[in-house]
Amino acid sequence: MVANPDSVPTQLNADLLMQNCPDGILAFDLNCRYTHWNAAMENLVEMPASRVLGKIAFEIFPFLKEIGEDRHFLEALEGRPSVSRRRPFQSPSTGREGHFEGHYSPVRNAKGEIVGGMAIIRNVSERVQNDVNERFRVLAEHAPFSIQLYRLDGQCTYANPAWENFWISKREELQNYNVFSDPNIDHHGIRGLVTKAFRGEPVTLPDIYYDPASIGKIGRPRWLRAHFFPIQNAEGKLIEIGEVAQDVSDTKALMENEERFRSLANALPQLVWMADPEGYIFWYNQRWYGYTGTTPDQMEGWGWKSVHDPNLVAEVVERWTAAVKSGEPFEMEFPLRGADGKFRAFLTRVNPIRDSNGKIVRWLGTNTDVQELKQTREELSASVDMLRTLNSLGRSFSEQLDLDKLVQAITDVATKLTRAQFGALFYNVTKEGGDTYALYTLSGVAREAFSKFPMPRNTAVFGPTFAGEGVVRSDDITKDARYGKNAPYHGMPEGHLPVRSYLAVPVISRTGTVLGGLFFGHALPGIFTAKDEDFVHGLAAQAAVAIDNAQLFQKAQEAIRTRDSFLSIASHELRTPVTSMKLQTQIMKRSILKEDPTVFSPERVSKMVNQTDRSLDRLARLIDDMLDVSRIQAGKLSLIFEDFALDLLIHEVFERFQAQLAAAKIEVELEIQASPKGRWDRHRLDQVVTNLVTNAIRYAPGSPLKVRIMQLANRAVLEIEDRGPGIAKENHARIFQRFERLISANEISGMGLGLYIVKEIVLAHEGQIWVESEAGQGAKFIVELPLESEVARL
Amino acid sequence: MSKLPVVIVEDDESISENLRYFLELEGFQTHSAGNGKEGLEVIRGLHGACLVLLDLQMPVMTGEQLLEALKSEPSAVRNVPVVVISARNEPPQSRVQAFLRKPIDIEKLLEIVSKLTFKS
Repeated sequence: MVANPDSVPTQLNADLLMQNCPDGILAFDLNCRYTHWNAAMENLVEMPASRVLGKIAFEIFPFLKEIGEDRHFLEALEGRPSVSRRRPFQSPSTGREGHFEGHYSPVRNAKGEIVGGMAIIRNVSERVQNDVNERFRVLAEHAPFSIQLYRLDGQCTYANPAWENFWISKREELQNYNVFSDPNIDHHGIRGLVTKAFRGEPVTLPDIYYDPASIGKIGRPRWLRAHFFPIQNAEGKLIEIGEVAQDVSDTKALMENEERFRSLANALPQLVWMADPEGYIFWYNQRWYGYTGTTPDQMEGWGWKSVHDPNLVAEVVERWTAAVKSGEPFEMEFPLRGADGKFRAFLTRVNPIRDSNGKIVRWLGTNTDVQELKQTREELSASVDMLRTLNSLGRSFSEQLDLDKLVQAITDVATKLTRAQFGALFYNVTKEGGDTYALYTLSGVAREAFSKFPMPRNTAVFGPTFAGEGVVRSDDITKDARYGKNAPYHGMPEGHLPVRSYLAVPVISRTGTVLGGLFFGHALPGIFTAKDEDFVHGLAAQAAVAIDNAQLFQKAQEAIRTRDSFLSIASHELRTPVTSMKLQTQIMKRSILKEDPTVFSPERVSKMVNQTDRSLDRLARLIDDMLDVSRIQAGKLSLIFEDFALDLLIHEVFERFQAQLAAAKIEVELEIQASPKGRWDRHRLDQVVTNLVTNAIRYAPGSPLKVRIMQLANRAVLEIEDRGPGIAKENHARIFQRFERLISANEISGMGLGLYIVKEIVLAHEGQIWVESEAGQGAKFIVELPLESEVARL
Repeated sequence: MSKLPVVIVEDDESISENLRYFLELEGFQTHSAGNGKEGLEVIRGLHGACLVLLDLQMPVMTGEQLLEALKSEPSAVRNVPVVVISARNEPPQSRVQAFLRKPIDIEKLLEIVSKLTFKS
């Protein structure tokens, strides 16, 4: 078609040529308005001539300016031909892409003046494609991995040189290779995947273990990983299938190592994890999740902080961060919370794993449960501490020989170390004469808190301790089966300190005697542990030895004191009659020397003889008493039994004391209700009565003395009651002990042996003697004797 | 030359009697008391113008208690010379003129008593 036949030279041949030329031909005037647009152009650009002729090129195709094509238009109008190469072009009507090449030149009239320009446009898309192919070829030829191309029927059309190395084959061998005919795809079970790939889907085959020996080649067996991908043409039509395959043996080995490591790590009893070089934890073993009851999502990165003790996590993070920074191994013990919510102690060790260049590639951490170890360690150290404490306590106890201070120290220490609110040590003290007193010390509470209660008795709760049966420990004694079983209190007396936690241990001497018991209490339940039990058990043993020692020491000291006081009293008592006699002899001696007979007058001599006689009596009595005490001490107080009536003996004694009683202004009232006859030692009973009468004369002069004889069944009873100063109740037992006198030794002469000997004589007769008296009320001594004792019958 | 009287404070009758007999034989004037309380009354009665022969271990009031009681007496009584005669090994804490241990040597007693009863 011709737009304006007048504006161009009319030449049929040229028009024909132009219309039939396979290349696109266009022409434009000085304003770049299209004047010619041949059929080939219509095809190339997919625009009919009718839509472009008469239009300014850059207006209808604005992209021409964008791609710089306008330059070529202008150069042609300036008379310079030019070529624009490989211009990418997208059809404005169909959107199809292509590459064009334009050969521009000026158009002149007959006068040689430029009247416009023209261009021959050629589609070079195919040539461009060829360049791409060339580039692909170069890449493929140099690629380090295997590349293959297949026709859609499975026939291989290309393989790169790497393929040869890869499969240890020659490319020539591929000439008739069709992937679908390869028995190996069935062998590896990948036919389905390959078929899928040839339908046009990208497919990655599972890793294949390829041993060249299987196809009769020599080479290293390797792991292969192949990817199939579809190749489409410009129209999106599937035209070919590509395959890229690589040797993943190294990666595979690494992964296998990793896999092996992970299953090993899962089998370990420890918690195991891995962190990247920055300390970011990316993997935990199953045990970690099992123990902590967490999920991988929760734990990722720094999520582990949630299973740490909130009080310690800051320090853990700080030290872990420092380790990551320095690259030094990390070691620390800290608790981790388990799925049950309880913390257990873990020893955590983290070591860096370095590559061949020494660069840290990851951190490997393990957490080892050391709870039991720690517990054992703590228990062991607690045991050692306990032993050490017991040892040192034992030593300090044994240094303390003062019993009162000792029991206080034991009670204090035990109360403190068992964390009891209060503690008590009840212990028995056996005094000379066999009387036992129960005493107690307290710790943590004032004595008044207990003083109103009676001593603990042999109840279900206290009994086992006083019987030496073992430790009683209760988290709550008020809920114990043994509690509240005994009258009258059925539990704690009113006003008793509240006790829930209870711990009691017997204190047993080395001879097996129960010396007493240590008792501990606390108002809260569950205070005393098995460890406390062990401790007080050990402490009680130490305490027993110490109390034993202290008591022995006390007894020894008492024995020494007794001996000293005996010697001092005896010396004094013996010296008095001796002094009297010595005075007399000296006076006589002096008288003789001076030849003065005054001293020898009958009155004086008679007086001196009487005095000497009394002094000698006194000496004899003292010596007898001392001998009696020796006999009693040695258990050799032997009695000579005879039958006689008690009242006769009483008469004899009082007759003998008539003068002395009169001198002391004592009026005796004898009340003989019966005349009991029995088998007794006459001399010894005389001694008993004499002693009681002498005491009355000594302590209750000037007051009446009532003497009563009775018989109660087969027992004779003698009562001697004075109106003297009386004896306070607390001294009733004491006066029958050796060297005991109510008035201090300085005030009344005598050895203080009298009542002791009296009591021993009565006991030897299987009788009893006691005193009924109160201070200021006089004293009544009562002697009760069996008429015939077991001993007398022998 | 007149001598101070001697007050014998001694609970043992026999000892007291023999001392008295001996001292009177030697020409001393004597008084006797069976315990400290009686002794103190005698001394007071004499306004301290006497020599006291004092036993320690006595009923009612001991020799030590007498010595203690003397301290709160008027100066004449307080400063009465005292000779302790006792079976004890040790003299009393209070300051006394002499201490004679029982049994007593009468020559020595006589010497001390003579010296202490001498009235200047």
